[in-house]
Amino acid sequence: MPLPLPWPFEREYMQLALLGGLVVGACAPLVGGYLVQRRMSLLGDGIGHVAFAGVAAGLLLGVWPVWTALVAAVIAALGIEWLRSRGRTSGDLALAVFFYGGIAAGAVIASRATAVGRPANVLPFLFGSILTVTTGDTIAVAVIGLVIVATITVTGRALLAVVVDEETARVAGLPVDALNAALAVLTAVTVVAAMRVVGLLLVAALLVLPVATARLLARSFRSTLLVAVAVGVLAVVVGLGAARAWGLAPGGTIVLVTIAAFAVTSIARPSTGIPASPHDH
Amino acid sequence: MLLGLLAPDAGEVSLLGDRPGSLADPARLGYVPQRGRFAPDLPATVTEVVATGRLRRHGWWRAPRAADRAAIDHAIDAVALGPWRDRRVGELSGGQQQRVMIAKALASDPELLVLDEPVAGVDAESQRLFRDSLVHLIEAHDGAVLLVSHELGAVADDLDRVIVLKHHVVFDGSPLELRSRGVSLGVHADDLPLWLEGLD
Repeated sequence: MPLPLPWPFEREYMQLALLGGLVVGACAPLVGGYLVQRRMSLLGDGIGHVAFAGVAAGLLLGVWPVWTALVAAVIAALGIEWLRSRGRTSGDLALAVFFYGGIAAGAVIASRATAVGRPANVLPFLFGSILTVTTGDTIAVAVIGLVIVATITVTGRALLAVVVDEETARVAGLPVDALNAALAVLTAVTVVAAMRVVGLLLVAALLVLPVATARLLARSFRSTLLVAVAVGVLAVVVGLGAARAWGLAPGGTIVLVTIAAFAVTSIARPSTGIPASPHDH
Repeated sequence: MLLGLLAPDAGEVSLLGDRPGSLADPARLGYVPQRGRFAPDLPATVTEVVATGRLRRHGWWRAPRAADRAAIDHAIDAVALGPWRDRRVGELSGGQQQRVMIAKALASDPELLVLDEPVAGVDAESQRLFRDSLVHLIEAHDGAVLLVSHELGAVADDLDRVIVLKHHVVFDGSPLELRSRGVSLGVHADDLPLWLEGLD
Protein backbone atom coordinates (compact mmCIF):
# COMPACT_ATOMS: atom_id res chain seq x y z
CA MET A 1 0.00 0.00 0.00
CA PRO A 2 1.61 3.27 -1.07
CA LEU A 3 1.52 6.23 1.31
CA PRO A 4 -0.49 9.29 0.22
CA LEU A 5 2.50 11.26 -1.08
CA PRO A 6 2.25 13.79 -3.93
CA TRP A 7 3.68 13.27 -7.41
CA PRO A 8 6.38 12.12 -8.24
CA PHE A 9 6.35 9.89 -5.16
CA GLU A 10 2.75 8.65 -5.28
CA ARG A 11 3.66 5.15 -6.57
CA GLU A 12 4.92 2.42 -4.22
CA TYR A 13 8.11 1.79 -6.22
CA MET A 14 8.95 5.50 -6.02
CA GLN A 15 8.35 5.50 -2.26
CA LEU A 16 10.66 2.53 -1.76
CA ALA A 17 13.25 4.28 -3.93
CA LEU A 18 12.80 7.48 -1.93
CA LEU A 19 13.22 5.74 1.43
CA GLY A 20 16.35 3.83 0.33
CA GLY A 21 17.71 6.94 -1.35
CA LEU A 22 17.12 9.16 1.70
CA VAL A 23 18.96 6.72 3.98
CA VAL A 24 21.94 6.60 1.61
CA GLY A 25 21.78 10.34 0.88
CA ALA A 26 22.01 11.04 4.61
CA CYS A 27 24.54 8.36 5.63
CA ALA A 28 27.08 8.60 2.80
CA PRO A 29 28.09 12.24 3.51
CA LEU A 30 28.26 11.43 7.23
CA VAL A 31 31.07 8.94 6.53
CA GLY A 32 32.45 11.04 3.67
CA GLY A 33 33.06 14.02 5.97
CA TYR A 34 35.87 12.12 7.68
CA LEU A 35 37.22 10.58 4.46
CA VAL A 36 37.54 13.93 2.68
CA GLN A 37 39.47 15.47 5.56
CA ARG A 38 41.78 12.43 5.71
CA ARG A 39 42.53 12.93 1.99
CA MET A 40 40.91 9.55 1.31
CA SER A 41 38.14 10.77 -0.99
CA LEU A 42 38.69 7.93 -3.44
CA LEU A 43 38.56 5.14 -0.85
CA GLY A 44 34.86 4.64 -1.56
CA ASP A 45 35.61 4.28 -5.26
CA GLY A 46 38.32 1.67 -4.65
CA ILE A 47 36.04 -0.30 -2.35
CA GLY A 48 33.21 -0.02 -4.89
CA HIS A 49 35.36 -1.64 -7.57
CA VAL A 50 36.16 -4.57 -5.30
CA ALA A 51 32.49 -4.86 -4.28
CA PHE A 52 31.82 -5.43 -7.99
CA ALA A 53 33.89 -8.64 -7.77
CA GLY A 54 31.72 -9.56 -4.76
CA VAL A 55 28.53 -8.96 -6.75
CA ALA A 56 29.81 -11.17 -9.58
CA ALA A 57 30.73 -13.90 -7.06
CA GLY A 58 27.22 -13.74 -5.61
CA LEU A 59 25.67 -14.11 -9.06
CA LEU A 60 27.98 -17.07 -9.80
CA LEU A 61 27.23 -18.81 -6.49
CA GLY A 62 23.52 -18.01 -6.50
CA VAL A 63 23.85 -16.02 -3.24
CA TRP A 64 22.19 -12.59 -2.67
CA PRO A 65 24.86 -10.29 -4.21
CA VAL A 66 24.48 -7.73 -1.40
CA TRP A 67 26.02 -10.22 1.06
CA THR A 68 28.95 -11.15 -1.16
CA ALA A 69 29.49 -7.48 -2.05
CA LEU A 70 29.54 -6.63 1.67
CA VAL A 71 32.14 -9.32 2.40
CA ALA A 72 34.33 -8.22 -0.53
CA ALA A 73 33.96 -4.54 0.40
CA VAL A 74 34.91 -5.05 4.06
CA ILE A 75 37.95 -7.17 3.11
CA ALA A 76 39.02 -4.53 0.56
CA ALA A 77 38.52 -1.70 3.07
CA LEU A 78 40.67 -3.39 5.71
CA GLY A 79 43.27 -4.34 3.06
CA ILE A 80 43.59 -0.79 1.76
CA GLU A 81 43.79 0.61 5.30
CA TRP A 82 46.43 -1.98 6.22
CA LEU A 83 48.58 -1.11 3.20
CA ARG A 84 48.17 2.61 3.92
CA SER A 85 48.91 2.45 7.65
CA ARG A 86 51.95 0.20 7.23
CA GLY A 87 53.35 2.62 4.70
CA ARG A 88 54.06 -0.36 2.43
CA THR A 89 52.82 1.66 -0.48
CA SER A 90 51.41 5.12 -1.05
CA GLY A 91 47.68 5.58 -0.51
CA ASP A 92 46.85 6.13 -4.18
CA LEU A 93 48.96 3.18 -5.34
CA ALA A 94 47.25 0.90 -2.80
CA LEU A 95 43.90 2.11 -4.13
CA ALA A 96 44.96 1.53 -7.75
CA VAL A 97 45.81 -2.12 -7.03
CA PHE A 98 42.36 -2.67 -5.51
CA PHE A 99 40.58 -0.64 -8.23
CA TYR A 100 41.88 -2.71 -11.13
CA GLY A 101 42.02 -6.00 -9.24
CA GLY A 102 38.35 -5.63 -8.28
CA ILE A 103 37.06 -4.78 -11.76
CA ALA A 104 39.24 -7.46 -13.40
CA ALA A 105 38.15 -10.15 -10.94
CA GLY A 106 34.52 -9.04 -11.33
CA ALA A 107 34.70 -9.31 -15.13
CA VAL A 108 36.31 -12.77 -14.96
CA ILE A 109 33.86 -14.11 -12.36
CA ALA A 110 30.85 -12.66 -14.24
CA SER A 111 32.02 -14.34 -17.46
CA ARG A 112 32.37 -17.61 -15.54
CA ALA A 113 28.82 -17.21 -14.22
CA THR A 114 27.52 -16.81 -17.77
CA ALA A 115 29.53 -19.88 -18.85
CA VAL A 116 27.88 -22.07 -16.19
CA GLY A 117 24.41 -20.91 -17.20
CA ARG A 118 23.84 -18.15 -14.62
CA PRO A 119 23.75 -15.05 -16.83
CA ALA A 120 25.23 -12.25 -14.73
CA ASN A 121 23.42 -8.97 -15.22
CA VAL A 122 25.85 -6.67 -13.47
CA LEU A 123 24.58 -3.37 -14.92
CA PRO A 124 22.05 -2.67 -12.11
CA PHE A 125 24.91 -2.93 -9.62
CA LEU A 126 27.34 -0.81 -11.65
CA PHE A 127 24.91 2.02 -12.39
CA GLY A 128 22.24 1.52 -9.73
CA SER A 129 18.64 0.43 -10.09
CA ILE A 130 16.85 2.28 -7.34
CA LEU A 131 13.47 2.07 -9.10
CA THR A 132 13.51 -1.74 -8.83
CA VAL A 133 14.39 -2.01 -5.13
CA THR A 134 12.16 -4.35 -3.15
CA THR A 135 10.80 -3.90 0.37
CA GLY A 136 13.52 -6.34 1.52
CA ASP A 137 16.26 -4.22 -0.12
CA THR A 138 14.89 -1.07 1.51
CA ILE A 139 14.76 -2.68 4.96
CA ALA A 140 18.37 -3.87 4.52
CA VAL A 141 19.46 -0.34 3.53
CA ALA A 142 17.54 1.16 6.49
CA VAL A 143 19.22 -1.25 8.95
CA ILE A 144 22.65 -0.45 7.45
CA GLY A 145 21.81 3.25 7.78
CA LEU A 146 20.97 2.87 11.48
CA VAL A 147 24.27 1.04 12.06
CA ILE A 148 26.19 3.84 10.32
CA VAL A 149 24.47 6.60 12.32
CA ALA A 150 24.96 4.73 15.61
CA THR A 151 28.64 4.08 14.89
CA ILE A 152 29.32 7.70 13.90
CA THR A 153 27.48 8.89 17.03
CA VAL A 154 29.81 6.82 19.22
CA THR A 155 33.11 7.20 17.32
CA GLY A 156 32.63 10.62 15.66
CA ARG A 157 34.45 12.67 18.31
CA ALA A 158 37.44 10.32 18.35
CA LEU A 159 37.49 10.15 14.54
CA LEU A 160 37.68 13.95 14.51
CA ALA A 161 40.67 13.76 16.89
CA VAL A 162 42.42 11.43 14.40
CA VAL A 163 41.48 13.73 11.51
CA VAL A 164 42.88 16.77 13.37
CA ASP A 165 46.20 15.13 14.26
CA GLU A 166 46.89 11.40 14.22
CA GLU A 167 50.14 11.63 16.17
CA THR A 168 48.75 13.54 19.15
CA ALA A 169 45.66 11.28 19.14
CA ARG A 170 48.01 8.30 19.44
CA VAL A 171 49.99 9.91 22.27
CA ALA A 172 46.69 10.69 24.03
CA GLY A 173 45.99 6.96 24.08
CA LEU A 174 43.11 6.92 21.60
CA PRO A 175 42.76 3.60 19.71
CA VAL A 176 43.88 5.19 16.42
CA ASP A 177 44.38 1.95 14.44
CA ALA A 178 40.98 0.61 15.49
CA LEU A 179 39.33 3.93 14.62
CA ASN A 180 40.96 3.97 11.18
CA ALA A 181 39.80 0.40 10.60
CA ALA A 182 36.29 1.34 11.78
CA LEU A 183 36.19 4.23 9.30
CA ALA A 184 37.30 1.87 6.49
CA VAL A 185 34.61 -0.67 7.40
CA LEU A 186 31.98 2.08 7.66
CA THR A 187 32.96 3.17 4.16
CA ALA A 188 32.58 -0.40 2.90
CA VAL A 189 29.13 -0.72 4.48
CA THR A 190 28.08 2.64 3.00
CA VAL A 191 29.30 1.60 -0.45
CA VAL A 192 27.17 -1.55 -0.35
CA ALA A 193 24.13 0.37 0.89
CA ALA A 194 24.57 2.95 -1.89
CA MET A 195 25.18 0.26 -4.54
CA ARG A 196 21.52 -0.09 -5.49
CA VAL A 197 20.89 3.66 -5.37
CA VAL A 198 23.60 5.17 -7.57
CA GLY A 199 25.63 2.10 -8.58
CA LEU A 200 29.15 1.05 -7.63
CA LEU A 201 30.74 3.34 -10.22
CA LEU A 202 29.09 6.44 -8.74
CA VAL A 203 29.11 5.49 -5.08
CA ALA A 204 32.04 7.71 -4.13
CA ALA A 205 30.20 10.74 -5.50
CA LEU A 206 27.61 10.55 -2.69
CA LEU A 207 30.39 10.14 -0.11
CA VAL A 208 32.37 13.12 -1.30
CA LEU A 209 30.38 15.72 -3.28
CA PRO A 210 27.86 16.78 -0.61
CA VAL A 211 30.82 17.22 1.77
CA ALA A 212 32.65 19.36 -0.80
CA THR A 213 29.61 21.65 -0.93
CA ALA A 214 29.18 21.75 2.85
CA ARG A 215 32.84 22.71 3.39
CA LEU A 216 32.19 25.88 1.43
CA LEU A 217 29.28 26.86 3.66
CA ALA A 218 29.83 25.56 7.19
CA ARG A 219 32.20 26.78 9.86
CA SER A 220 32.37 23.87 12.32
CA PHE A 221 32.90 20.17 11.64
CA ARG A 222 29.50 19.39 13.10
CA SER A 223 27.71 21.84 10.83
CA THR A 224 29.77 20.60 7.86
CA LEU A 225 28.35 17.11 8.45
CA LEU A 226 24.80 18.41 8.92
CA VAL A 227 24.90 20.58 5.76
CA ALA A 228 26.43 17.65 3.81
CA VAL A 229 23.58 15.38 4.98
CA ALA A 230 21.05 18.03 3.91
CA VAL A 231 22.71 18.31 0.47
CA GLY A 232 22.73 14.50 0.10
CA VAL A 233 19.06 14.21 1.06
CA LEU A 234 18.05 17.10 -1.21
CA ALA A 235 19.99 15.60 -4.14
CA VAL A 236 18.12 12.30 -3.74
CA VAL A 237 14.69 13.99 -3.67
CA VAL A 238 15.43 16.33 -6.61
CA GLY A 239 17.31 13.63 -8.56
CA LEU A 240 14.54 11.04 -8.17
CA GLY A 241 11.88 13.59 -9.08
CA ALA A 242 13.78 14.69 -12.20
CA ALA A 243 14.41 11.06 -13.17
CA ARG A 244 10.67 10.32 -12.91
CA ALA A 245 9.63 13.49 -14.76
CA TRP A 246 11.97 13.08 -17.73
CA GLY A 247 12.65 9.32 -17.69
CA LEU A 248 16.34 9.74 -16.77
CA ALA A 249 18.69 7.23 -15.09
CA PRO A 250 18.05 7.98 -11.38
CA GLY A 251 21.58 7.19 -10.07
CA GLY A 252 23.29 9.43 -12.58
CA THR A 253 20.70 12.18 -12.09
CA ILE A 254 21.20 12.20 -8.30
CA VAL A 255 24.97 12.53 -8.75
CA LEU A 256 24.56 15.31 -11.33
CA VAL A 257 22.36 17.20 -8.83
CA THR A 258 25.14 16.99 -6.18
CA ILE A 259 27.62 18.32 -8.77
CA ALA A 260 25.22 21.16 -9.64
CA ALA A 261 24.87 21.99 -5.92
CA PHE A 262 28.66 22.14 -5.61
CA ALA A 263 29.03 24.29 -8.74
CA VAL A 264 26.34 26.78 -7.68
CA THR A 265 27.76 27.02 -4.13
CA SER A 266 31.31 27.54 -5.43
CA ILE A 267 30.18 30.39 -7.67
CA ALA A 268 27.87 32.00 -5.08
CA ARG A 269 30.24 31.62 -2.17
CA PRO A 270 32.36 34.81 -2.45
CA SER A 271 29.39 36.89 -1.30
CA THR A 272 28.04 34.47 1.33
CA GLY A 273 31.13 32.63 2.51
CA ILE A 274 33.19 32.60 5.64
CA PRO A 275 34.32 36.03 6.82
CA ALA A 276 37.92 37.11 6.46
CA SER A 277 40.53 36.17 9.02
CA PRO A 278 40.61 38.13 12.31
CA HIS A 279 43.55 40.43 12.84
CA ASP A 280 46.79 38.54 12.96
CA HIS A 281 48.84 38.15 16.10
CA MET B 1 60.72 7.83 22.78
CA LEU B 2 59.38 9.72 25.76
CA LEU B 3 55.97 9.72 24.07
CA GLY B 4 56.12 6.02 23.21
CA LEU B 5 56.15 6.68 19.45
CA LEU B 6 59.68 5.21 19.08
CA ALA B 7 61.30 2.29 20.89
CA PRO B 8 64.82 2.75 22.35
CA ASP B 9 67.65 0.60 20.90
CA ALA B 10 69.00 0.08 24.39
CA GLY B 11 68.10 1.09 27.94
CA GLU B 12 64.76 2.02 29.42
CA VAL B 13 62.51 5.07 29.44
CA SER B 14 60.31 5.76 32.42
CA LEU B 15 57.50 8.32 32.29
CA LEU B 16 55.29 9.21 35.28
CA GLY B 17 56.37 5.88 36.79
CA ASP B 18 55.21 3.92 33.75
CA ARG B 19 56.39 2.81 30.33
CA PRO B 20 55.83 5.48 27.63
CA GLY B 21 53.09 4.49 25.22
CA SER B 22 51.38 2.30 27.80
CA LEU B 23 50.50 4.77 30.54
CA ALA B 24 47.60 3.54 32.63
CA ASP B 25 46.15 7.02 32.25
CA PRO B 26 47.45 8.68 29.04
CA ALA B 27 45.50 11.84 29.88
CA ARG B 28 48.27 12.60 32.44
CA LEU B 29 50.48 13.49 29.49
CA GLY B 30 49.88 16.46 27.20
CA TYR B 31 51.81 16.76 23.93
CA VAL B 32 52.26 19.68 21.58
CA PRO B 33 53.94 18.59 18.33
CA GLN B 34 56.56 20.62 16.49
CA ARG B 35 54.58 21.63 13.43
CA GLY B 36 52.10 24.05 14.95
CA ARG B 37 49.73 24.28 11.98
CA PHE B 38 46.44 22.63 11.09
CA ALA B 39 45.34 21.69 7.58
CA PRO B 40 44.22 25.08 6.17
CA ASP B 41 40.94 23.58 4.92
CA LEU B 42 40.06 21.79 8.18
CA PRO B 43 36.39 22.68 8.77
CA ALA B 44 36.58 22.64 12.57
CA THR B 45 36.32 25.41 15.17
CA VAL B 46 38.81 26.16 17.93
CA THR B 47 36.38 24.66 20.47
CA GLU B 48 35.95 21.46 18.44
CA VAL B 49 39.71 20.98 18.09
CA VAL B 50 40.44 21.70 21.76
CA ALA B 51 37.62 19.30 22.75
CA THR B 52 39.47 16.45 21.01
CA GLY B 53 42.21 16.91 23.63
CA ARG B 54 39.70 16.17 26.40
CA LEU B 55 38.41 12.87 24.93
CA ARG B 56 40.67 10.60 26.93
CA ARG B 57 39.55 12.21 30.21
CA HIS B 58 35.82 11.60 29.77
CA GLY B 59 36.02 8.48 27.57
CA TRP B 60 36.30 8.92 23.79
CA TRP B 61 32.98 7.22 23.14
CA ARG B 62 31.04 9.55 25.49
CA ALA B 63 29.74 13.06 24.98
CA PRO B 64 31.52 15.65 27.16
CA ARG B 65 29.75 16.54 30.39
CA ALA B 66 29.40 20.02 31.90
CA ALA B 67 32.72 19.66 33.76
CA ASP B 68 34.47 18.63 30.53
CA ARG B 69 32.99 21.57 28.63
CA ALA B 70 34.18 23.87 31.44
CA ALA B 71 37.71 22.39 31.19
CA ILE B 72 37.69 22.92 27.41
CA ASP B 73 36.57 26.55 27.82
CA HIS B 74 39.18 27.08 30.53
CA ALA B 75 41.95 25.71 28.29
CA ILE B 76 40.90 28.09 25.50
CA ASP B 77 40.87 31.05 27.90
CA ALA B 78 44.26 30.02 29.32
CA VAL B 79 45.86 30.59 25.91
CA ALA B 80 43.88 33.84 25.40
CA LEU B 81 41.83 32.52 22.48
CA GLY B 82 38.39 33.15 24.03
CA PRO B 83 37.24 35.59 21.32
CA TRP B 84 38.24 33.08 18.63
CA ARG B 85 36.60 29.96 20.08
CA ASP B 86 34.04 29.71 17.26
CA ARG B 87 36.51 30.48 14.47
CA ARG B 88 37.72 27.84 12.04
CA VAL B 89 41.28 26.93 13.07
CA GLY B 90 42.51 27.40 9.51
CA GLU B 91 41.53 31.09 9.66
CA LEU B 92 43.90 31.78 12.57
CA SER B 93 47.49 33.04 12.35
CA GLY B 94 50.41 30.66 12.93
CA GLY B 95 50.89 31.84 16.52
CA GLN B 96 47.18 31.44 17.29
CA GLN B 97 47.09 27.95 15.78
CA GLN B 98 50.03 27.01 17.90
CA ARG B 99 48.14 28.19 21.00
CA VAL B 100 45.17 26.06 19.90
CA MET B 101 47.55 23.07 19.98
CA ILE B 102 48.60 24.03 23.51
CA ALA B 103 44.97 24.47 24.63
CA LYS B 104 44.19 21.03 23.15
CA ALA B 105 47.00 19.53 25.24
CA LEU B 106 45.93 21.50 28.35
CA ALA B 107 42.31 20.34 28.00
CA SER B 108 43.08 16.94 29.51
CA ASP B 109 44.51 18.60 32.68
CA PRO B 110 47.91 16.95 32.14
CA GLU B 111 50.45 16.49 34.91
CA LEU B 112 53.22 16.77 32.34
CA LEU B 113 53.08 18.87 29.20
CA VAL B 114 55.69 18.05 26.53
CA LEU B 115 56.29 20.70 23.88
CA ASP B 116 58.50 20.14 20.83
CA GLU B 117 60.02 23.38 19.45
CA PRO B 118 56.87 25.32 20.34
CA VAL B 119 58.02 28.86 19.54
CA ALA B 120 59.73 28.19 16.20
CA GLY B 121 58.67 30.97 13.84
CA VAL B 122 56.16 32.52 16.25
CA ASP B 123 55.91 36.30 16.78
CA ALA B 124 56.80 38.04 20.06
CA GLU B 125 53.20 38.62 21.23
CA SER B 126 52.34 34.95 20.73
CA GLN B 127 55.53 33.98 22.56
CA ARG B 128 54.45 36.10 25.55
CA LEU B 129 50.95 34.56 25.58
CA PHE B 130 52.54 31.13 25.21
CA ARG B 131 54.77 31.77 28.23
CA ASP B 132 51.77 32.98 30.27
CA SER B 133 49.79 29.82 29.48
CA LEU B 134 52.67 27.58 30.60
CA VAL B 135 53.14 29.55 33.82
CA HIS B 136 49.37 29.20 34.39
CA LEU B 137 49.60 25.41 34.02
CA ILE B 138 52.47 25.23 36.50
CA GLU B 139 51.07 27.66 39.08
CA ALA B 140 47.30 27.06 38.90
CA HIS B 141 47.26 23.35 38.00
CA ASP B 142 50.46 22.12 39.63
CA GLY B 143 51.64 20.70 36.31
CA ALA B 144 55.15 20.21 34.94
CA VAL B 145 56.40 21.34 31.55
CA LEU B 146 59.10 19.71 29.43
CA LEU B 147 60.13 22.07 26.68
CA VAL B 148 62.31 20.79 23.83
CA SER B 149 63.64 23.84 22.04
CA HIS B 150 66.54 25.77 20.56
CA GLU B 151 64.75 29.03 21.39
CA LEU B 152 64.32 29.50 25.13
CA GLY B 153 64.37 33.30 25.23
CA ALA B 154 60.62 33.67 25.84
CA VAL B 155 60.69 31.45 28.94
CA ALA B 156 64.30 32.01 30.08
CA ASP B 157 63.26 33.52 33.43
CA ASP B 158 60.76 30.76 34.26
CA LEU B 159 62.85 27.59 33.86
CA ASP B 160 63.73 25.46 36.88
CA ARG B 161 66.07 23.04 35.15
CA VAL B 162 67.91 23.04 31.85
CA ILE B 163 69.26 19.89 30.18
CA VAL B 164 71.45 20.51 27.16
CA LEU B 165 71.85 17.59 24.76
CA LYS B 166 74.32 17.17 21.95
CA HIS B 167 74.80 13.44 21.34
CA HIS B 168 74.87 13.14 25.15
CA VAL B 169 73.98 15.29 28.17
CA VAL B 170 76.24 18.36 27.95
CA PHE B 171 74.70 20.22 30.85
CA ASP B 172 72.10 19.48 33.55
CA GLY B 173 71.33 22.17 36.10
CA SER B 174 69.65 25.47 36.80
CA PRO B 175 69.65 28.38 34.34
CA LEU B 176 71.77 30.26 36.91
CA GLU B 177 74.48 27.60 36.77
CA LEU B 178 74.34 27.71 32.98
CA ARG B 179 74.77 31.45 33.10
CA SER B 180 77.74 31.09 35.46
CA ARG B 181 79.39 29.19 32.61
CA GLY B 182 78.88 32.26 30.47
CA VAL B 183 75.93 30.81 28.52
CA SER B 184 72.70 32.78 28.29
CA LEU B 185 69.26 31.47 27.27
CA GLY B 186 68.17 34.82 25.88
CA VAL B 187 68.95 36.20 22.47
CA HIS B 188 72.52 37.39 22.96
CA ALA B 189 75.86 36.90 21.35
CA ASP B 190 76.60 34.14 23.88
CA ASP B 191 73.22 32.40 23.58
CA LEU B 192 72.66 28.65 23.69
CA PRO B 193 72.60 27.84 19.96
CA LEU B 194 75.93 29.63 19.46
CA TRP B 195 77.44 27.76 22.40
CA LEU B 196 76.23 24.46 20.92
CA GLU B 197 77.74 25.35 17.55
CA GLY B 198 81.13 25.60 19.25
CA LEU B 199 80.83 22.23 21.03
CA ASP B 200 82.20 19.07 19.48
